[in-house]
Amino acid sequence: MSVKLQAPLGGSVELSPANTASNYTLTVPARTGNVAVDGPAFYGHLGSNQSVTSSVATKVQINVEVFDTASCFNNTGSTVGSIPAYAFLPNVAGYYQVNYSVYSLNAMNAMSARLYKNGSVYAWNEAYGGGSYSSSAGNSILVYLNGTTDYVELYCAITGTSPAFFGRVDLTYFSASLIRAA
Amino acid sequence: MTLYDKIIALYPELTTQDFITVITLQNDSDGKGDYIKEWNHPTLPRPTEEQLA
Repeated sequence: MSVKLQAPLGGSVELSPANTASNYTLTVPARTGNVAVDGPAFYGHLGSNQSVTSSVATKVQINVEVFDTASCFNNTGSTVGSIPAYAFLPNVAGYYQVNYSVYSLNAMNAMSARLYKNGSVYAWNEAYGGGSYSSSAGNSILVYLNGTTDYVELYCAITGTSPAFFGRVDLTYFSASLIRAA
Repeated sequence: MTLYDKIIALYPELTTQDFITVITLQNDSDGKGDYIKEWNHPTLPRPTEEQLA
C-alpha cells in the first residue's frame, strides 16, 4: 500500500514502502524542511603523477572515478555536456560536502590546494615543506551548488624543485556529496 | 623557460608570498599552458605579451 500526495501543479509524490515481511518505523522530525534523497555523490582520484610548473595553480587531473552516482563528475580533460574538465557539476540544487587533498610527490617549499567554484577560488589551504619535505594540503568544506550551472574544480600550486602531484587513490583525491537539498 | 621563470627574470624582487597574495599563475590542464590569471601587485605592472615572449 502506498500514499500518493497530489501536487498543486498536477503531479504527485508517492510514498511507497519496501516489499518486506518485517515492520519498520520511519520517524519524521518535527520540523519544516526538505528531504534530501539519493543526491549526487562522487569520489575520484589522480591516477598517475602529474608534473606541474612551480608556483602555478594547476587544475588537478582527477581522472579516476571510484564512484559517480549521478554522472555529475567529468573525469576527462575535455568538457562533457556542460561539465568542464575534471569538474563536478551536480544536477540537484543544494548544499554539498566537498573534500579534497593533494599530496606533493617531491619535497617542496610550499603548496596550496584550492577549491574553485565557477572558476574562482572558493577555499584555500596551504602546507609547507621548507624545501626538505613533501606534504599534503586539503580541506573539507560545505558549498552551495545550484543544480544547473554551478561547478567545483580542484587546483593546486606547489613551489619547489620538480613539483608534481602524487597520483594515488589515498593521497590526491576529490569528492562531494549532497547533504541538504535547497 | 617557464612563465614563472620569465616573470622572475623580469621582476627578481618578487617573493614566494607575492605568488600567493597578489599574483596568480594558472594552468587549466587543457593543453593551453600557464597564464597569468590575476595580477594585483601594488607597484609592479603586469608584464606585457612582448616581455613574456
